[in-house]
Order: sequence, then C-alpha cells, then structure tokens
Amino acid sequence: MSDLSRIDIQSVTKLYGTARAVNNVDLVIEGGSYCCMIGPSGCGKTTLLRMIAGHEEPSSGMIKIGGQDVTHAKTGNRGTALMFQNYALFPHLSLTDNVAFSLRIKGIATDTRRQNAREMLERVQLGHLADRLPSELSGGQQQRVALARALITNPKVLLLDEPLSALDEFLRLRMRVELKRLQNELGITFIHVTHTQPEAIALADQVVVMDHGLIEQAASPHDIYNHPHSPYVARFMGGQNVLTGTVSSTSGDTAIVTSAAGVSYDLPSAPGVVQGAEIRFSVRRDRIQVIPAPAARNGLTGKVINTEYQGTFVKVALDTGSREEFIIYMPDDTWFARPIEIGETIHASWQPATSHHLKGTNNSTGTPLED
Amino acid sequence: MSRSSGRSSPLTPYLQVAPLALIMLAMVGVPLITVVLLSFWQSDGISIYPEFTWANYAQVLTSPVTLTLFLNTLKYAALTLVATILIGFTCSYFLVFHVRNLKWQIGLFLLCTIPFWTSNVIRMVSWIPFLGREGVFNQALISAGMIDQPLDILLYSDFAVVLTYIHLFTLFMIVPIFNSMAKINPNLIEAARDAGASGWQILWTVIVPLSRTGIALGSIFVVTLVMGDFFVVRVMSGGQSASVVSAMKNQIDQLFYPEAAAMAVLLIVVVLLMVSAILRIVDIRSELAK
Repeated sequence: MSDLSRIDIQSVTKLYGTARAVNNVDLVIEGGSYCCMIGPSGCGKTTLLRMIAGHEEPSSGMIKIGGQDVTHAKTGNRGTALMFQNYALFPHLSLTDNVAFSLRIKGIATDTRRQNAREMLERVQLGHLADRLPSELSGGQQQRVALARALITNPKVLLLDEPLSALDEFLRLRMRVELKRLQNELGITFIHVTHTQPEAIALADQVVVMDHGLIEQAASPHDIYNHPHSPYVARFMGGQNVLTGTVSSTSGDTAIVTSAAGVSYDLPSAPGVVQGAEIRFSVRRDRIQVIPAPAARNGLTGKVINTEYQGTFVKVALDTGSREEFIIYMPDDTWFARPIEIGETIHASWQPATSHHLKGTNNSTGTPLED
Repeated sequence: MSRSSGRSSPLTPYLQVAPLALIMLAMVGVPLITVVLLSFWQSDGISIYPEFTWANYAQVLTSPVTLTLFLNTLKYAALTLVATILIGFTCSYFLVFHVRNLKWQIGLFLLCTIPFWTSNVIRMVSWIPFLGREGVFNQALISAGMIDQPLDILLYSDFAVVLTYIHLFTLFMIVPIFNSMAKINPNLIEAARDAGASGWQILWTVIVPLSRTGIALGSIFVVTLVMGDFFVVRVMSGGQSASVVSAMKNQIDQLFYPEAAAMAVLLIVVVLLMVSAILRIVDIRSELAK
C-alpha cells in the first residue's frame, strides 16, 4: 500500500499570468503518511493540493502518484479524492446518494451503490441519517458525509482542503482525532492543507511549511518545531523567539554572536557563520529562565509589557528595544511563587544549546492568520 | 418585529398589508368575481339578463370546438415551452459557466433585454417581412439555390405563431434559470469532477437538478402567457388558427359575453391545473426560501 500511495512532486511550477503561485517545488510524500501543508493565505498550498487532485494542471514539472506520472491524468482517475473546504455536498441529493455519487458516475447499479454508501455512512456514524438532505445536518455531520463521499472510491490519496476550518473549536479537536484515527485505520496517504499550527503539529508525520509559492521546510513536526529552517518558519510555527546578532568570533565548533545590546551568545559554528556576518537564531519560549541579575551571556533584559495566564503556563511579553516582542513561557508555579508586574524590568537567561541557528534567509514576519 | 417605535398595535401588520390588499382586490378580485358571475347569466345575443343558468357551461363543455381550441392552444404552449427551455437553459448555462466575468455577464444579460425596448406588436410584426412569400428568408433560400419555390409554411402558419411566441417569451425563461444557476456553488461542479464525472454527467446530475426551480418558474411564465394570448395567434396565423382566447374575443365581438365568461372560467381552471402540476413537480417555495 505504502508505495502505491507515495507522491513525488518534481520541479512543479504553476503560473497564473505572471504570478508564480507555486514556484519550482520538489517534494516527496511517503506513502501512508499524514502530510500537513501549512502557510498563510496565498502561499500556494491550496494550489499544490489542487494540482495533486487534478483540478489544476502544473505549468511545468511532474507529479507522480505511486510511481505513475499523473501530471495530466484526468481528475477522478488518478486515485485521489478531494474533500472540499465547505464540503460541497450536493444539496439536492440525500446523504446516501451524495456518498454514492461517484459509484453512480461509474455506472454501478442503484441497489449496490446505495448499499455501499450506507455501509460507508455507518462507518462515519451517520447510518441513521442516510435519507436526510445535507441542509438538515450540522457542520460536523456534513463534514463526515464529505469524508464518506471521498472515501467510497477507495482512494490511494485523500486530499483535505482546510477540512476543520468551518467547525467550532470543540468539534475541531474532536474531528482532528477522528481524522488521525481514520488515517491509521486506512493506511493511505492524507494530505491536509491548513493554516492552523497546532493542527499541523498534532496530526502530521510530515509538515510542509510554505511561503510565496516555495517550500520553506518539509520535515517532521518535531524537527520543524525544534530546528526551524528560517526566521519565517520559526515565527510562523510559533513557540520561538527570533534574535539577530553579528558574529564576533569563531573558534572550533562554536561561534560567538553579539546582539545590538552588546550581549554575547554561543552558537554552534556552521557554514555561513563567519566573523562579521549578521545571523539570526531562535530560542524556544519555554526553555527560558527568569533570573534576578542580568546574565553575562545567553540572556537579555527587557521591560514586561504584557502577561497572559494560559492555564499550564504564563506568557510574559518583553520589550527588549527591538521591533519584535520577546516572549517567555513561565511555568505557572514559578510565576505564582513570584508574580511579575507589567512595567517591571526582568532578566532572562537560557542554556547555550537552546539557541538554534536559522540557516534560511526568509525573514518575513509570518504572522499566523486568525480566522 | 421592530418594537422601537413603542406604538405598535395588533392592527399594525394589517394596516401595512392593506394598500396592496386593496389594489389586488380592486384589480384582480372584482374583475374575477364579475367574470364568474357573468358566466352564470343568460343572454340572447342582444341583451344580458341577470338570471341564473347552466346553459353557458353546457354549451361550452359540449361543443366539439372547445376541445379543438384547447388542444390547439396546449399544442402551442407545449412547443413554445420545449423551445424556450432549451434556449433559456443554453443561454443561462453560457452566461453562468462560460462568461465568468461579472461585467460581461451583466452586459450580455442586458443584450438579451434589447428586444424589450420596443413593443410586442412591433417585434411580432417585424417577422412578417422576414418570413413572407417574398420575404428576406425565402429570397435568401432561393438565391442560395436551396429551394425553387418560396416556402408557404413560414408565415401565416402554426410555425410562425410558435416562432413568435419563442421570440417574445424566451427572456421569461432565461431570467429565472439564470438566477437559479448563478446560485450553484462552483465547488459542487468540482466535487462532481473529482468523482470522475464527465461534462455531460455533471450537466445531468448536478446542473439540471439544481436549475429546476428556475425551469419551473420560467415554465409558469411561458405557459400562462401562451395560454392567455390571442393577438399573436390572430396575426401570425393570418386568421387560420384560433386559440382559446381568440375564440373568446370573437364571442365578445358578437356580444356573447356570458359564453365568453364561461370559457374564461374554464381557461382559468385549466391554467391553474397546469401551474399546480408544475408546482407539484418542483417545490418552488422551499427552494426560494433558501
């Protein structure tokens, strides 16, 4: 199964006029994996998904599913099924006939296809509503019908275009679990487009972070979160502070980077980390301690501009004189042992190994989009 | 319900409805009641007596001419309906699914209404020099060598009548079909394509079923317009054919008002039956509520 549903995307470009919606993208999605494509609106993630589904043709490049070139193959004939963002259920057909639609297109007899559709509806726990119309269903139920309709063709690859964005928070978390369970059960490839970071981190085996038609980073959620490739990825995926400094010296496998405020930071040396170069690095927000006196190295000082209680931790925002806020996630017991007031000046420090050099050059702010 | 004025009384909704209700009563209710009353009165061709009789209905219902008239009118209605649905559906399909640009859609839509800038009579009469024995069309066919003799069937025939109906009434079909087609979510078509449907399958399984409200509304317009016409039949058939209403017109000209009224009541019943049949097939109310 896994080789049959492997996807190879080779130097795929999609032009709209002169705009490059997808710009010379290479990507391998292992068969049977859960892949999340994430990025802000207009980053090309949906276009890429639609090209895999066959609703758009690449301007150049090749798409292979299970080793077969499907770049110009007919939609619905390449082993993919697409689940639409607003579900796109046929309003004039009952749930059974909605689910049976693709079987009807294939010319399968009415009784057989209705029987199959009912079984599929049972599978998504909607068997009791088989004769209803889509308009009589709640959002979560409609979504499950759309899922059943997509799965009845036994696709090798299921493509989901922002499947959870129309649901409220509670349902979204429940459906997220259901999607993952279903993917484990079926063992087929899921490609899921989203702009919600926790969704991607929670679901994916492979996260593909996109911006301006390019793939910034494609890696496991753990890698994306701990070793972001560029300042953009670090900021967009969240949970990181991005700092800038100039390399003041290198020796062996470490480099010393000095910030504008004059604080030194220890970073591992790497190609491009040469004396005088300006580099950026990230520090995880939950790996930072608040200390009583200014740190000599690997720390900084700032004025508290906001605190936010998050239940298990407290989010403390510092103004450090740069354009970007510096954020610390403090364990809630530490914070409540000695609460910090807004306006107070505090000192932060972290282990040298926590600083992660950002190799990529994409420095856009990558503000996550709020719906 | 807005309560902001604070002076809303139980009478308010009735007062709000009253102007339209009065106009409808005066313009539709009273004439209709008059016609129904008249159909039960006696007449001798010179004067009318307000005395109850079934004679008018007996005459209308037993006369073989009535059946012929109704069949002829229904034939016109059916032919016009089929042609206007085909043309209306095709035009709407083109406007909605091929002309994606809104400005072009509006522009082409206005183009469809240009014939309406002039009167029905002019639009109808302008077919005569085109279709006549010495008309433009016959001349063109003869000079193209396709026929030797001018075609007589073109003018003063059922063909001319139906052609004129189609010309006059197609817009009444285009507008409602366009309206319901424009409401179809483009994602539905992509979803059908994703399921492997071909262009024709998408047309039959998605677009036609979702346009049926428009088709039904347009059909009601076209059927009632054709059933109620007498002028087109008279002019374009050259007096050779008659419809229900043109026969009624003759009776009125001869001052047989009660017979004409009985015929009118019968026509109303038939049209009501046809409209309710259409409404049974398509639940317009539930579709319009969306």
